[in-house]
Amino acid sequence: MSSIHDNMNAKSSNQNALLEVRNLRVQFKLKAGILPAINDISFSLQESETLGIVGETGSGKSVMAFSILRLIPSPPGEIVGGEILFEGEDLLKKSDREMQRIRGRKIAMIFQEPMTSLNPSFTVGQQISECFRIHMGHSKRESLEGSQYVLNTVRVPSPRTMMGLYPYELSGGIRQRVMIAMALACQPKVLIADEPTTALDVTIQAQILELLKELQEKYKMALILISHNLGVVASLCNRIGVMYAGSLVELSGKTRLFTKPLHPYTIGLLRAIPRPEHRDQPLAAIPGSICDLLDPPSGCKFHPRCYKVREICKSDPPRLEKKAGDNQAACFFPGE
Amino acid sequence: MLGRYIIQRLLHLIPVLLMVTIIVFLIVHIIPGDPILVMLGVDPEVGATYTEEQYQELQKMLGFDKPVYVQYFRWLMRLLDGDLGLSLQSRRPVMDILLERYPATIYLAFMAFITVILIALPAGTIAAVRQNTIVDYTAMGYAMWGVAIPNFWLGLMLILLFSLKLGILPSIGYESPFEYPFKFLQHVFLPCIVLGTSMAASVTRYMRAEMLEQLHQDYVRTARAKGLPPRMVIVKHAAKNSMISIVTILGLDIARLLGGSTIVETVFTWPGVASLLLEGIYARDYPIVQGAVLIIALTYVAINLFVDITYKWLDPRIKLE
Amino acid sequence: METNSTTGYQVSLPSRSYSSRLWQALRVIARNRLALMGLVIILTGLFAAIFAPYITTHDPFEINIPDRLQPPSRSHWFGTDFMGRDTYTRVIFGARTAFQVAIGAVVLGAFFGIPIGMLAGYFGRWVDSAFMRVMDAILAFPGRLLAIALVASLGGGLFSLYVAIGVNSIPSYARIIRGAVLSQKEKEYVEAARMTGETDGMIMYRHILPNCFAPLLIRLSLDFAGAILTESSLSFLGLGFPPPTPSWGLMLKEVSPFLELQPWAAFIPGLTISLMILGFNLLGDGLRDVFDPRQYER
Repeated sequence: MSSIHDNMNAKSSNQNALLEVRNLRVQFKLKAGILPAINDISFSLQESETLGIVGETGSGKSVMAFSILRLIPSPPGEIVGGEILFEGEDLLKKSDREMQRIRGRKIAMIFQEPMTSLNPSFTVGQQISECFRIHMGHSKRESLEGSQYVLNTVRVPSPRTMMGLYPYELSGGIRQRVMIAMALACQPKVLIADEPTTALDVTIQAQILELLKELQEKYKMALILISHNLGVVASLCNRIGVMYAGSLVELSGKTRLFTKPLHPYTIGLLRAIPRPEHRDQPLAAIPGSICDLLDPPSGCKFHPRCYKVREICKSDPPRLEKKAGDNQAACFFPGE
Repeated sequence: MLGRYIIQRLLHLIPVLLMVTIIVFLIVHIIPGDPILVMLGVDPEVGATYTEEQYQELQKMLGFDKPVYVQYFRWLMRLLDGDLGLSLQSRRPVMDILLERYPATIYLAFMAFITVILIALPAGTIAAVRQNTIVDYTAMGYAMWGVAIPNFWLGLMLILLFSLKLGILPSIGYESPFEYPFKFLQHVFLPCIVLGTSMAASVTRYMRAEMLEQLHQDYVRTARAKGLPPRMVIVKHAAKNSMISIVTILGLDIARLLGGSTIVETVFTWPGVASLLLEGIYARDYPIVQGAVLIIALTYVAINLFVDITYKWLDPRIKLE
Repeated sequence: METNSTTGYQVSLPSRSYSSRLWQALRVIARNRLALMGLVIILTGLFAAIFAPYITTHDPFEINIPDRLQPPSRSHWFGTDFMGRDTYTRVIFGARTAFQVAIGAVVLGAFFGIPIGMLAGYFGRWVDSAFMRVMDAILAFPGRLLAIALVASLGGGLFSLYVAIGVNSIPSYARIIRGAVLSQKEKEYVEAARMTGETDGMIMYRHILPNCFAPLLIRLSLDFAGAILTESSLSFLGLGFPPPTPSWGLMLKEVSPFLELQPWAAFIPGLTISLMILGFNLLGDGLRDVFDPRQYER
C-alpha cells in the first residue's frame, strides 16, 4: 500500500504541475568571490502536494524558497539561470507588478522568526487586513471581518481581542499562528514555510505542525516545508527533497526515503539520528563538514565526506535522476 | 505613566533653569573693566565723556551698588515677575520689546523646520532605497557639504543670485504671515532655506541610516512577501518604524536652528529676537542682551522638553505601561 | 577589544601606549578614503597657516585703494577686497587665524572637560551631580548662543574667542570621559592598580584615559570643525576678530555691502571655510565609522 502511495505522490512528471522549478541557478556576488548558492535545481510540485526540503545550514534551502517568490536581496544576490513555472508561466520573466499580484495571493510564505517578521508598529488586525485590502480590494470593514475569520481558522484564542494587539504582546506560538493567518488570508495555492517551527518551543512546534497539516488538507494547498529537521518534515510531507551545498541530492517519497534512502548523504543523516536502542554506541556523525561554497570540491560536492567514494565521484558531478521508480538521487552509486 | 514622566522631567529642569539664569545674570558681570562705563559707551583710555549723574543713574538702575548675590536675587525676583529691566537705548521695558520680536523668530524657525522635514525625510529615504547609486551619492554629498557650509556664506550667495542678479526674491524685510501670507512666504523663503540647510543635511544622513537599517529587517521581507507594492512597504512599513528615531534626531538638532537664527536674521534683516540680540550687543544695551539670551535659551529648553515627552509618547512600548 | 557598555565605544585593554594608539588611528584613517581626504585637507590648511608668509604674494595688511574690488588677475590671483588688499594673501593668512582660534578653543575645552569628567566619574555622588548640572546648564544654550553671549561680554579678540568657543565643548569631553570612567571604575585591573599603590591620579592617567582615546580623537576633530565655524560666524557678526585681522568670517562681513560688485571676494573665503570644516568632519566621521558605527547622539 505504502509504495503505491509513494509512487503516486512521487510523480514528478511535468504534466499539470502547479509549480515547476527547472535548472534554477542563484549566485551571490561577495567581496571574496561569487558564491553559487543554488546550483541547477529542478523539481515540480503538484496541487495539494506536500513537499519537504531538508538540509543543513548553508545548503541553500532558504535561498531556494526566496527565489520562488523572487525575494532574494538583489545587490549581492541574483537569479542567473533557469525557469520557475507557476501555472505554466515563468515567474522569472514577470514584471515587478505581476509578481506583487502573485505574492501573498497565489503563493504565500511564512518565515522562521515570527517576532521580527511582524511589523512591531502595527496591530495584528492591521497587518492581516492589508492582505484583504491590497489583493481583494475589500473595504476596511470587510477586511477586518476577514481577518477575524482567518484568525479563528488558525485557532487563535479570542480573535477579536487579538486583532487589536501588537506583536510584542504575543507569545511565539501565537505570533506564528498570526503569520500563518496572514499567509492564508487570500487562500493561496502554494504555501512556502521556511523553518516555521525552529524558533519555537518543542510543545508549540507540534501544535503548529498539526495546524499546518489541518489547514493544508482543508484548503488543499500545496505546501513546501523547509527545515533542517527530518522529523518535522516527516510528519507533514509526502515527498522529501534533500539539499546539500546548493544542489538537490535526493528527491523521494517519504516512506521510501526513510526505509530505502538512495544518496549517501541521506543515509548518513538517517544514521546520525540518535536512537535510544543504540545508546551504548557512539553517535554516527557524518565525517567532515560542509564544503566551502566559494571553492567547492570537484565532481560530486559530497565526495570528501562520502563513505563509498570512487574515482568518478571526484571528477564528474552526478545529476539528479530517477534511480528507483520515481525516486531521484544525484549519485553514481545510490542505495546502501 | 506619561504623567509621572512629565513631572519628573519638570523637576529635573529646575536646577538647570536656575543655572541658566545665573549664567545670563553673569553676562553683565564678567565684562572686563567697569561694566557701567562699557554700557555708557566710554573707552577708559580716551577719557570721560559721561556725567557723574549718568553713572549713578545706571548704577542704581542695574543695582550695581549692592553685593553680587543680592543683585542676583533681586534680578531673579524681578525676572519671575516679568520685569527684565529697561532697554538702555529706548528706555522701553525689555519684556515688551522681546514680546514684539519673538513671533518673527518663531515663525522663521517653524518654517525652517518644515523645510527640513520636506527635504530631509524624502531625500534620506530615497538615498536608502537607491543605495550606492548616483542618487545616493548626491544625497550624501549634500549631507556632507550642507553641514560644512557656513550659513552666512550661503545667505550671501543666495542673495547674490536671487535678489541681486535675478531679482525674484526679496532679501530683507518681513511681513506677518497672518496679514499678508503670500508676502510672508516670499520674504521667508530665502532665510528659511539658509537656516534649514545645515539641519536638513544632517537629518538626511540619519534618515538614510535609519531607513537602511529598517529595510533590512525581517518584517520588510514579510511585507514584500505579502505582495505589497514597494511604495507601501517603504512609506508605510519601514517609515513608521523609523519615526521614533527620527523624531528624536529632529529634536536634538533643533539647536542648529536656534543657534543659526542670529546669523540668518541678521543677514536677511529679519526682525526677530536673535537679531535683537545682536543689536543689543552692538549698542551695549545689556538688559536687552540678557533678555534676548534668556528667551532663546528658555525656548530651547522648552523644545527639548517637548521632544522628550513626544518621544516617550510615540514609543508603543511605553504607551501601555 | 571589548565594547564599553555605557558609550558603546570599542575599548582596548590598558596595556598599550599612547603612541601605539595614535598609530592605530592613523592606520584606520589610511584605510578609509573619505577620512584620508579629510586629513589631506586639514594638512593643507595647516601648511598654509604655518608657511603663510612664504607662499603668499602680498602683505595681507597692505591697503591699495585704487586697486580695490578687482576681479582675479595675474597679480591678484583671487582679486582684491574693498580696501585693495590681495584676497589670496588674506585667505592664506586667514587659515592661520582660523587654526589659532580652533586649536586654542579646543584645547581649552579638553583641558577643562577631561578633568571634570574624570572627577565626576571617579568620585561620583554629589561631585558628579554638581559637575553634571553645570554641564547641563551649558548645554541648555543652543550652539552658538552661548558663544555670542560670552563674546559680547568679554569683547572681541583671541582670548575671549578661546573662552567663548571652548566653553561650549567642555560638556562633550566631560561626558565622554565620565562615561569611560564609570564603566572602567569597577574593573579588576583598577582594583589591582590601587592595591599596588597607584594613586587615583595615576590610575586615571595611565589606565582609564587611554581607553577613551578613540572617542576623544573623534570629538577633537569634530570640535575643530565647530570652532572654525563658530569663529567665522562670530567674526562675520563683528563680534570676533576686529579689522584688519585676516579672518575669513570678517572678510565676508567686509565684502557684504559690495556683494554685487565683487562676488569673488565673497565666494572664496566662504569656500575655504567650508573646505576646512568639511575636512575635519570627514576625518571625524571616518574615525567614527570605524570605532563606533552606531552613532545617534550629537
